[in-house]
Amino acid sequence: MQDTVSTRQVVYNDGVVRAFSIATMIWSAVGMLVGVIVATQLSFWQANLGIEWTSFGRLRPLHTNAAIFAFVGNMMFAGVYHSTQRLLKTRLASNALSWAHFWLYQLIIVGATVTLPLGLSQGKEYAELIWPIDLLVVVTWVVFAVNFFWTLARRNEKNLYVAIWFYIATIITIAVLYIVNNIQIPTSLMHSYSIFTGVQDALVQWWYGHNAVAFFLTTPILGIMYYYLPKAANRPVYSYRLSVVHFWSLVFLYIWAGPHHLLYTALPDWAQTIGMIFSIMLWAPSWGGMLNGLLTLRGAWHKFTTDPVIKFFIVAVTFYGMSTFEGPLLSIKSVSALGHYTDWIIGHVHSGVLGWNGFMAAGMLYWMVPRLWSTKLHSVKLAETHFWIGTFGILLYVVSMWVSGISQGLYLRALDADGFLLYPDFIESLIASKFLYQMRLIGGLAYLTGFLLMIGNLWATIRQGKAVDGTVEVTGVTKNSSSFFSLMKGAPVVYSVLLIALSCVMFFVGVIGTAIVVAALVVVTVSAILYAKQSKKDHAWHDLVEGHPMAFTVLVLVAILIGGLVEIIPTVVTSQKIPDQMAEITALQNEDGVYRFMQEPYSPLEVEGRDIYVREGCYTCHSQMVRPFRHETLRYGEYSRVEEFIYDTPFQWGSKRTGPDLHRVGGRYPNQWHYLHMMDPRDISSGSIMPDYAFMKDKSVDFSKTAKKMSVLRTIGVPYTDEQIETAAAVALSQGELIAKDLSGAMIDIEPNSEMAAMIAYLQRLGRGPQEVE
Amino acid sequence: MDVLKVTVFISLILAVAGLVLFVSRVKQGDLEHGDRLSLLPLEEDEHPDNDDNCEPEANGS
Repeated sequence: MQDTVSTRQVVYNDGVVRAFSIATMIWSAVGMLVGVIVATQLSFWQANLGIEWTSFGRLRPLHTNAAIFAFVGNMMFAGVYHSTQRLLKTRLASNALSWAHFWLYQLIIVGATVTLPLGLSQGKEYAELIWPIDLLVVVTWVVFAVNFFWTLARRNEKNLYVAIWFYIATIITIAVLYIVNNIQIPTSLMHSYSIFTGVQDALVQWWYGHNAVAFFLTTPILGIMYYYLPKAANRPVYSYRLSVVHFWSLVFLYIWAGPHHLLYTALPDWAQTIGMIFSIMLWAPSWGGMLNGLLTLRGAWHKFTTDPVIKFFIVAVTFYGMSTFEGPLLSIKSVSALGHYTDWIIGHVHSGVLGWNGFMAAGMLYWMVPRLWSTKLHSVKLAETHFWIGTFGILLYVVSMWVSGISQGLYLRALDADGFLLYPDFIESLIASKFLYQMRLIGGLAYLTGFLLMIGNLWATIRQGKAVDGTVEVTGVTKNSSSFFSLMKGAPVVYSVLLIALSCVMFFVGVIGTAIVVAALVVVTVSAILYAKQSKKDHAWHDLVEGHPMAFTVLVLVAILIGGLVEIIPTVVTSQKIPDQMAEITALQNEDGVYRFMQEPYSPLEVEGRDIYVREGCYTCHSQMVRPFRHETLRYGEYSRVEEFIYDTPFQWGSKRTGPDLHRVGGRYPNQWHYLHMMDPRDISSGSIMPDYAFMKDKSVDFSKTAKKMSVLRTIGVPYTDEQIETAAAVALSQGELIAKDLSGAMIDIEPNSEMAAMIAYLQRLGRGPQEVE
Repeated sequence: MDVLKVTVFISLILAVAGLVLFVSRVKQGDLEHGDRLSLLPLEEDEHPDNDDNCEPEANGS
């Protein structure tokens, strides 16, 4: 068939790029400002203001969502739309879809900004948004995907440059992750329960949570790096071949690493180990990408002293290397034992989001905004100032969190010569961190100040310029590409699938099976090597795949599904319910009654109390997972077991302990202690920075909704009877009356249907079986 | 099953295979398409702007 040749001028749709760029500036300020507010609350508890809407537990999800999805999200869309048009030499396929994407995305962000402070939350980290907003996210993502792939179909460049590969991986993987993790059943317009419970929910959530970092904060930004860094340096990427290795190994390995967030928890050990090993393997492709970025500057290092864009990019890529070294390090089980639940993790994520994403955003905007408005940057000196203030800020932030986190880990595990806790009171580790929290606040303020300088500088740039859309003269050559099926049958696909499949099978067969699989692996590997040495005709297979977006997308989908399926399917299909005889043994072994009948569902009042716990974001500071270490069992009680969480949806294991673990808090203190603690935590625990929750005393629970919640929970698998559901309101009130009566003995007066009663009921239930609250 | 031993073994196989395949590809000299593609980001728009837009206006700083 003949090639077709045509020449015409293409005008890019830069209007939507400008809109996303401005949105990036606005939301960066909002996200970082909320970050500074929550950092202030951690230094000065008074900054919680005693108002429910401004408490740390509600603002922290707003901060993380604003920083990740509002700031980095808008930056990503600006970079993707700007670079994709130029790399494909075509205009975005649809103006309507482009603008629908922009406005729907801003609507999502506004929705999150309103609902999260109101306490409307799913209670899963980075997935807090309630189900109506989740639906809007899915619609928006589909709009984005259709617009993007439609643009690919209209391209005037045969092959897809490496940046486009990363964008494809982002679109496909985020769709899979977001939909699976947010499968839920609504109980009302603003509330729902995830269909996953306990350890299943934990695994799915951190499969999502980790890969939200991987495919929202990393892959699209790597695509942006591969486009803008060569552009700013005026040098081609150091090694295109290395970028091929970087891309495929990163995409394949990343998806497996989620369980490293759950080391030493009740997650099955095999899943933890796989998560750890794949996390360590991730180090190699991550550093391959970092080196590819830094070496792109070969011969252009002098620009580091004169060009602020290059400055930001170099430091951003360096932070990428640093945080992708730190991530695998923290994924080693023995390191995780020290660092998990501490500020070390906070420092790690901020070196990624602020150091890597934030500085990439700054570099991209400083490069792009003058061009989008056809002018020059208003002030290079201001940009330089931003760079140095920002670098100072992020370094101060990260270093203070490292010191704070490692100190906390050491404090909490320290044992004396007799094997008992050296610092038995949790608050000692917090008090030791207070100075470092203040340093973190200064660092965050400096970083925010830098961004405010950038916003002012870019705003002045915009005002002095004039919006101009880029154009390009296209002499398009549209060639016939290989068929989808011939690419799928290519030797690299066949050998890769065989090697991966055999490697996966090995984990699930016995000794003889393993020997057979190992032999097969060797045969496949040797034949792949021999084939590669002999074959000449297939040498451009990747070249052909780059010219076939559908084949490329399918291969990406396969690469990301393998890890997810291998980890999640065995856990999800396994019944979580412990055998009856094991329950009996558990009962016999714990005659004191503390750990009896763990698989009993929550009472109606406890269900309501748990929802309040989720609403208030208690998981942002408290874990519910006692790890099997002596220092933890001494401090908190018996280590947590998998069967104890089978009716927990969402799971509330947490990822950070600014306060102590709560899994065994049930029965540890009287009701009066909990009441006083929530009215003013410092009355009970001097030095505490916990917000007070006095408003719970005056707010009442609507028990008319409890039956509906229990009905939905039954659909998910909680074995409530018809009678339990029908009598939910009365039983809840009855349990509340018992708590109110108990408190009245201490001259404390609360209503039995108050949120305080529900919260106390839930806290008293944690880590033990059902009982009447005395 | 000692998962560490198995994983290290598989990793070594994959790493060696990857290395050999990579070297064989380099020897075959499939250089053209990557070199051309890596120049794509360096192409400039055709509207009248300047190469170095980070330079400030004369009184801009």
